[in-house]
Amino acid sequence: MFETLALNAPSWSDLRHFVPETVLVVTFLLALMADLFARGRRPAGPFALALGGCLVALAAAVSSLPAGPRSILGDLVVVDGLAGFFRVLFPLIGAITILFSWASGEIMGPRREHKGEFYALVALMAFGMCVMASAADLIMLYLSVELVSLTSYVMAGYMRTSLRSTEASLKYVIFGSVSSGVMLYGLSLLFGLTGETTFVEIRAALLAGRADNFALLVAMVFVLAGLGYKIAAVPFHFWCPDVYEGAPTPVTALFSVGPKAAGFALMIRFFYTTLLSPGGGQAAAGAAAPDGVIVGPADWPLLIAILSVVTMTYGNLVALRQTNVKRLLAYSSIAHVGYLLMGFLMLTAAGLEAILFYLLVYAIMNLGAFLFVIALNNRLGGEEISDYAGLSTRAPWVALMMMVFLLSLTGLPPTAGFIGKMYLFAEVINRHWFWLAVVGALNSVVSLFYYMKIAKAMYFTPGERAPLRLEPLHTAVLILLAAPTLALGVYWTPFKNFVDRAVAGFAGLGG
Amino acid sequence: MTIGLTHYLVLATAVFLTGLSGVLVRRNSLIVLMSIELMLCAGNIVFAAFSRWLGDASGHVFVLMSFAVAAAEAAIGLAILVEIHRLRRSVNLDDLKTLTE
Amino acid sequence: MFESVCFYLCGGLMLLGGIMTVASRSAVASAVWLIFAFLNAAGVYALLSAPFLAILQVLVYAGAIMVLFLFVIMMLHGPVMNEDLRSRSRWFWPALALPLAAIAGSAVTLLGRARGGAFPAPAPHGFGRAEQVAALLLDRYLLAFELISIVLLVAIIGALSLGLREGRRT
Repeated sequence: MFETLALNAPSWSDLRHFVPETVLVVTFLLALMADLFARGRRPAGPFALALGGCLVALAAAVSSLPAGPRSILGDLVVVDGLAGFFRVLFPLIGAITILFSWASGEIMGPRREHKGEFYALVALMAFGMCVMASAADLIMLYLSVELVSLTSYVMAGYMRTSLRSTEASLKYVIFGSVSSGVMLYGLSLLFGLTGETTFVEIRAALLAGRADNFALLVAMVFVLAGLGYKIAAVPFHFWCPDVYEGAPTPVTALFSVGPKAAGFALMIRFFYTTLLSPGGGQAAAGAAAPDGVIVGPADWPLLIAILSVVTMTYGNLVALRQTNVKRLLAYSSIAHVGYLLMGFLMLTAAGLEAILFYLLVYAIMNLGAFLFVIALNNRLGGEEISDYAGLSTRAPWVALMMMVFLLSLTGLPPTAGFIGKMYLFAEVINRHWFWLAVVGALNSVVSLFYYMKIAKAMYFTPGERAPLRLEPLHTAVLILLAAPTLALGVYWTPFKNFVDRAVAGFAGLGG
Repeated sequence: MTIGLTHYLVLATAVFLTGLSGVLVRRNSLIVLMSIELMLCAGNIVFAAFSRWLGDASGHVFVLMSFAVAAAEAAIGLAILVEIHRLRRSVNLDDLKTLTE
Repeated sequence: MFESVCFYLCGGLMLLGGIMTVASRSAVASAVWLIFAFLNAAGVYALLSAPFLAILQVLVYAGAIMVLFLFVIMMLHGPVMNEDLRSRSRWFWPALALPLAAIAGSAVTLLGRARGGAFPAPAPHGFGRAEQVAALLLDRYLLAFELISIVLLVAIIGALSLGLREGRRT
């Protein structure tokens, strides 16, 4: 009747390649239903279901690492190496978040009904982030970003009797909706300029020179505004410190790693697919060139480089004068986005490998640092740096583990953070971006000062002497996170291989 | 001159700018949320105009999705707003000062 | 000729509605002006051969979303605030001028690109009707359709989770 029957119409059999995502959605629905029957102080049913679902999704993702790119479900999503990597990462982050929320006073403490919702929402967020990582169409880009955003708004306002939490949530909604409105406008321009909605076809249209250069620049900058808000890059970061401080700490922990990584996944897929034509670059133009030809008029790498420098410098300088640890970690997470953007603008396979490796490491160490804040908030009821005075005598092992996370966040050996930064900087220097490497190194030095402010409070400021016992679950998860942070600093080959395979299978670089 | 793509694009641009200036200037968060709806509406008009121009109804699907997202955003935004009003008796964005340095 | 008159009428009134939404002092007046703007937007969709969207614009936007807004405004007793815009005047112009320049620039380029931009007349038979949109939505964009249902589910849960009165605890 109409010319609408797609060449690749979605079919049930496509779901074979979409198992982790399907598992997560089903988990969300089941946990939601279980919540209706949950009794008692803690909702054991939804907790067990959500945790189990995330672990099953994780297992499914690990066991079915995609071999090559495969466009499924009407070409709306593509399952390739990149998607394969992130669908391992996100259920993992979800599972860890669920685990440490169980003993968190902020989530389980307030007297409210339907606490199980929280676990269902974490599973849903993991799903949304997985979809972000595999979106291959403008519609999926918009919807997955919105799904994750809406879930975030609800979670940020979870403690609804707390003014801080509600205020954070309102700010989040307003900033989020504005940037998604700007992004929608950019997407509409992009659709009009190229006449296509899938990323691959957009590239084909751009290569054919169908788009006006200046209008393309405007459209891309608008889209960048939407994605930049998701990863909290300056100048789209305004919401970040307030939301991180106001939201319940377990939620902040999730926000600081999950949506950020998903935003990077989507940025990589969108910009590498639409603006980079694979092949021909590396061999022809020497070592300093990207793995492909940049489509379009603008000097994108330089634009992103400026964004990266501004982001990391701003994040680090403002972090210096924070006294609230949650706020400090918020600014430090902005700075880390700056480092990651350095890898992003290299436009090479090695740069991508460095980003993915760093994201993995960053997820572990940042979750660890936030878990420390959660665990102590449960006992001390605060999160100012001064609250941690004398912690090395009160809880020596916990203080030591926090030290590991702090060293790793700074990027000092022998921790995972050092290896991650090493790969990033190595690639930046390889591609002759010397000034960028220097700025990045200087920034790392600045970050040492504020991370060590926490260390100083723990080790050198005298405080109470009574020993402090944490929730056993929190101690267990802390160990679970501190161990890989140390181990990956010494022996990281298997993980690097895993990441390399993921990048080799990435459709955007012709994998 | 017959009415064509350009006219619709200019209209959408004007509406988008109106919405954006509302977001930037107004402090009443209810009106800010309404200004955001205006911005979304401008994007939708661009989609519909290009759909007509290209003869490709994919843009209509996009507009449909954006309707649903706008409804979802409004529902959540208003729920939070009611909560804020209950706690603070104000919906002025300048009063949200609990979380400043 | 008829099309021009309709366009300038609907478009002009829509813009007027938008400006009044932003400029009104009270939230109730804003909401009513916004409904007015959305009704005219429906007219614009109709002119763009998008009858299905025009109907949905009235039903969903003007009907559902705006009624929600009005409900909330009534619940909060229609807050009229004294907004001190003067204190923000430092920020006002740069914040306004920057995006303005960017977008106006893009509009001008698009103008050039569209080469007068006359639509290929007439639209194909059935273009923009419910049948065609449904055929796309339930075939190629099926996954997006499923995803949007989840987005709406989150909105429901979110509104309930954020809005349930604490006083109900037993």
